[in-house]
Amino acid sequence: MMQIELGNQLAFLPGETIDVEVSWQLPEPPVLVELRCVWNTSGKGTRDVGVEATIPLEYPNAFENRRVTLTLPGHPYSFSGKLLSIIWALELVALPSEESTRTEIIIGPGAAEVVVSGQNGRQDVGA
Amino acid sequence: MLARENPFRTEIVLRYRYVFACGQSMNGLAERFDAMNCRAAIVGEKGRGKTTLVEDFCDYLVANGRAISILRLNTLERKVARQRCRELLNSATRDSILVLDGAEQLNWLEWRWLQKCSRSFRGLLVTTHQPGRLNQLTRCESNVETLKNAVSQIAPTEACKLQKDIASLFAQHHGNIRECLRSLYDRYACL
Repeated sequence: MMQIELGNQLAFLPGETIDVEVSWQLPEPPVLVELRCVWNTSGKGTRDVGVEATIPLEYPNAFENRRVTLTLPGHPYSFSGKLLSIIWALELVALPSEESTRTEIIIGPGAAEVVVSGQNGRQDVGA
Repeated sequence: MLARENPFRTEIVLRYRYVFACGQSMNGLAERFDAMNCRAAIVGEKGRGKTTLVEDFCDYLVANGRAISILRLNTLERKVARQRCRELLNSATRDSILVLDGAEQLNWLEWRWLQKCSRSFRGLLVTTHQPGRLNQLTRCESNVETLKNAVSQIAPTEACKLQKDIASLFAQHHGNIRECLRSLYDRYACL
């Protein structure tokens, strides 16, 4: 079992520094655990993915809790239109087993997703 | 509807895998492929599931200890097809089965060249729109039931609402399941 704990907050400002509580309970001590800040597109067409930052958590035990400080990227903002969404997430990955967990977050101005709702090309901001 | 909420968004559609016709199976396909000395074609028109089947078949072969080297060619890569094939040949080990998804992108001369070069490898599996390049391993086909099944697997909560439109959608896109699913994406995007 792996967990990412962000308190009640899942939406953040671009470039914000955040504290992340991570924990894992695995049958064997992993060689390495990584906390990754990743993005992916969702919608119509090819799905793109990227890893923006990787924080290695070295010498992990099989059972552990750690607090990690992470500076979120400044761009691109979390975004949704009719054809494409850009989704940010934190992933906690144990290696080499690749057991993982993922928590989606929002990074945007006013800690909200940029939403283009379409009817008149209108741009809204809403979490 | 926003892209991330669309029930026909790409990552959901890609989870839907190839469904064999009654009486066919992955095991049977592999046995037939071996009997054909690992040189065969998966044939089918656009949007019938050739790429999905070849992906699943390659996973099956790898899980059964085969080495696979895959090249996917699309219409945009027609001009560099020979170069891409050369890269495939250079990177693959001799015990590999070469897999070319989109063999119709090669012209006749390029195809003859690839066929000759591939003889020193364990096998050659291609997908193609028309028969004739290699002996046919299987033919991917679609019907209204294929689309009904795809929709009910991809968007189970929406399937009932869409059932009445499935036959006309299938006809509109001439049996191209991929285009039908894209059309359904657009329909939900407008909501």
